[in-house]
Amino acid sequence: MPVILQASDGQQFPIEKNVAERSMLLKNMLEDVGDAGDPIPLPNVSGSILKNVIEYCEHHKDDPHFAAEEDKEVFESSRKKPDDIDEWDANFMKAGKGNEELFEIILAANYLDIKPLLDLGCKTVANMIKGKTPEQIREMFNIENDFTPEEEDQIRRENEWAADA
Amino acid sequence: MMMGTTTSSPPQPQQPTRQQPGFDTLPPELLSKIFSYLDADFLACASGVCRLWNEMANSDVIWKHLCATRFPLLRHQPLDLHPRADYARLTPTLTVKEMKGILARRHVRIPRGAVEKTELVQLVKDTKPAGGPRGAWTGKWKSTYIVAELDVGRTRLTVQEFATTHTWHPAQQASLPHPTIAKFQPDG
Repeated sequence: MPVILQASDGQQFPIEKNVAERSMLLKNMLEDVGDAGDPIPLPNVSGSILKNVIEYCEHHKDDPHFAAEEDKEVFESSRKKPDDIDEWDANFMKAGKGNEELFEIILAANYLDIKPLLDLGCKTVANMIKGKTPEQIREMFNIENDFTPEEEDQIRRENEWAADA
Repeated sequence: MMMGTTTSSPPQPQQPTRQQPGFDTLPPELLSKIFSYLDADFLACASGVCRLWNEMANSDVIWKHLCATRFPLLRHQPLDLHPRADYARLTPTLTVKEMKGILARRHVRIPRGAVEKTELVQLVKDTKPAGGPRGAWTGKWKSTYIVAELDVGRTRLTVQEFATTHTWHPAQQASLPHPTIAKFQPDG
């Protein structure tokens, strides 16, 4: 019996149970309440983002589950090289996704507790930051520079070592 | 009604709420997670983006972890703060244990008996090794990382360091009438 997810805009997505179980939130929910067949409302996720998340989960539905022991330390588990993204995942993140969509996917993965997708999203953003100047980063992500000129100067001096390294 | 006498401030213009999710909508723990994938030089760069990023990118948790991954040979030892860094501005963030550790590695004798924390703070401030790299950084673990990183490219020992290293082993010094000092010129 399919599980029906309902996005914030009312769109419904019937999906297989093992696809839904990629999400720890849904997995626990299904274990607790059982799948009565009623749509599960996800008020934090829009239809277009949910569609993307489901696409990811379908592709990865047969991956082995990493249990909670991986969570022991946020850094221990996430401290892999950011470059080791598999090809399908890299294309999935690229395919016509702007920054906003990328952030929405990260937020949805966080909310739905889909750790591999959350890792993938965070790695993708980390790769975007690499090699950019602070000004380029601000421009790319629309971040306001809230430093005073003195603070900026001090930070520049603090980071001079990195330029020589 | 006169201008400038009103006590109530004019109604604040409505902050344009940005609909597009961006970095400002990410909870801090996710920003921290993103930063955990960055190497030291990119992290240094990230600290110059805005105040929030600066705070997150200088966090001790991230830099301590970078120390552990960058210097894996030390992984079987407890990770300690580098004695040659300048902690003068960072003493409020140091624990008593950390200060004692730094002083021990600087070969500074700590007065016996109960020592006030303020005395330790003063000692840490007063005993910054002369040969240490110039510069002070935000965060004790960031400082440790940078000093250690700069040490990697270092080919010179100061006379003082050389001398203090040898006072560690009085027995060895006694057995070697002419310690290997001849191989080291004071100026590299």
